[in-house]
Amino acid sequence: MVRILKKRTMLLISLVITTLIFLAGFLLGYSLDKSRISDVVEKLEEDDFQRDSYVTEQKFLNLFHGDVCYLTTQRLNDLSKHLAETGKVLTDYEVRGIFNDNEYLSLKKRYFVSEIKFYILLKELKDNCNYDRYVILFFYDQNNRESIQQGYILDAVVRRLQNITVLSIDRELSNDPSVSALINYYNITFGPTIIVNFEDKYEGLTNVNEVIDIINKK
Amino acid sequence: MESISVILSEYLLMIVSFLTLFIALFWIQVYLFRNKRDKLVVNKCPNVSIIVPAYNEESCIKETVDSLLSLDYSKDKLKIIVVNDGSTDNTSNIVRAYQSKQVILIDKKNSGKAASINAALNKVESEFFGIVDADSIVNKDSLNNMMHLFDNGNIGAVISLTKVKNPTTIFEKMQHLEYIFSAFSRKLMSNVDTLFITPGVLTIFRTDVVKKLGCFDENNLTEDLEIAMKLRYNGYNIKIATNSITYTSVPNNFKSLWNQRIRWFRGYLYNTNKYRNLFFSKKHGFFGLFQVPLNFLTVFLVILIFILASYEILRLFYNFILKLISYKLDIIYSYKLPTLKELIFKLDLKIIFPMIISLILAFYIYNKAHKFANEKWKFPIALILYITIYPSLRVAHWLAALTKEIIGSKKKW
Repeated sequence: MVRILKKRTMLLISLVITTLIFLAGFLLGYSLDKSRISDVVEKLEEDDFQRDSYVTEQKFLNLFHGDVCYLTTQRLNDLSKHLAETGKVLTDYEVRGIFNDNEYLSLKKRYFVSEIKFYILLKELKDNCNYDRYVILFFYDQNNRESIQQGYILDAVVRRLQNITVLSIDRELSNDPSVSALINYYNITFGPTIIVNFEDKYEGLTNVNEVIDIINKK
Repeated sequence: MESISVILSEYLLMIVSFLTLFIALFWIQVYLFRNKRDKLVVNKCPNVSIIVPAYNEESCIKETVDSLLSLDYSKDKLKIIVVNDGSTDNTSNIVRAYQSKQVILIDKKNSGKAASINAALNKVESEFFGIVDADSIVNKDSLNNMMHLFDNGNIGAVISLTKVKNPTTIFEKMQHLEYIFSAFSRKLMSNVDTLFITPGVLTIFRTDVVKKLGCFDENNLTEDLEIAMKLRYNGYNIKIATNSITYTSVPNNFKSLWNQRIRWFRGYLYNTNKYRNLFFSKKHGFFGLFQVPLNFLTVFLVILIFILASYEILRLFYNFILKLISYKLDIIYSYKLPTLKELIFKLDLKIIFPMIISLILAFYIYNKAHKFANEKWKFPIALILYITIYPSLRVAHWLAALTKEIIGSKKKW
């Protein structure tokens, strides 16, 4: 015998179940978000570890071998790729974050600091060892069509040229001291702006062939 | 910071998901907890007149009259009145051959379906009358199974369970699925006394009630919906006899389906406005407080879901074009299959989770609707199109009907 429920009771039950399903969705989303954050933290720690390991190796060789410019291109490639991947993952995850805006902001700052450390390392290698790896520092504005497009263009350039590192910096995080230092140094006023090999500044959208031409002329 | 449009669409999506889930859960409870089974036939045989309005129906009128004559109902209590609405084909001659004490033919100038029904109603003296479209056929036991539902004076009309007659084209097959779902939803509405449709395939009315309410509105695109709303407005209830099966021809191509739906949806908008006092009317109980606003909300939700889906598709397409412009030929190499971890981490569970539950419930309802209509899952291609393309077509129908109603374009049948 099927029990007859009152219409009002059924509406109330529907409301309660729907709310519970949505709450469950939020909770699941929140716990997945925590896993995402852990994933990014792990990646950042791995980036830091790899870079520190590389620097330690250099110092060791410098001390015992005397060759400060002993380089392993493959390791720099790996470091560069790993850092780029962390940035991509961080951007992807940030969009899906729930209630964790501050945590993502803090991770982003940490990531940019990691990028800047790598940038400094590459600069040292270039100055001291005449290392010929191409380096592009890319300043972008969020939700800016040209910045998004410049990101895609730089992806394409990385795919075409092997010996290149692209480091992306969110211009809107200028309240962070290290990011601010770079923005002020290069006098960045809008995104997209790219700095090629530490010196040459190109403002606005620069297409694939233009970027490759710039690099080839170097 | 995400752009405002993305945030707005996300919030709208959540609101739409919430409402959809809430409505689905309500109807599932109606199915589970208020599923009154129809009683088996009780030998209640009052006098009934069946009106068949016909305009140029020479290809199907014979089959319709034959099916009515074969109804398992006392012959001396059943009259069939065919109204030839100024046909220019052989309809009148075909029916004339059937003329008898039981089959009456009324020839009149063309003036529309509602006027034809009213013309026949003038001659009806029986306690009940029915309407059958000239392109529809009824099962032998249909009428008998309907009459016992008039168990109190408050029941103004009883409708039958309509299925599509011989679906062959893809359009007919999609409508076959739509009619199964419609029949199920009508049963659920009937269970909570909110049914508001009296389709022309076979509906039986109380003659005195319809006459008292002024018969059928002759200037209405959907006189069947109008009479149903009028019954509800005046406090009468409508029931469905689920063991009374009838079959109807449906549009078999895009153009005829388009014209039919524009007429239906314009009729719905017109009649909703005509009976707007029903909205949140306490006097009309659950019908006024829930069903009427829900009908309107459903239209709104269907359009909103379409807009949100279109926005998301356009956004993806825009990003693809942006990549295409940026990558040029490199686009071929840019695609990389994501790992399972990447796939899971990309899910937005606060939106995806309720949507997955809604999808499971939709399949549950769909399956129950098939069982209810004694139909097997068939027409897989039509099913895919029904789920993917048909909703967009429906939105197009709604938007076109809404536009035509707002600008007041000429009403045509």
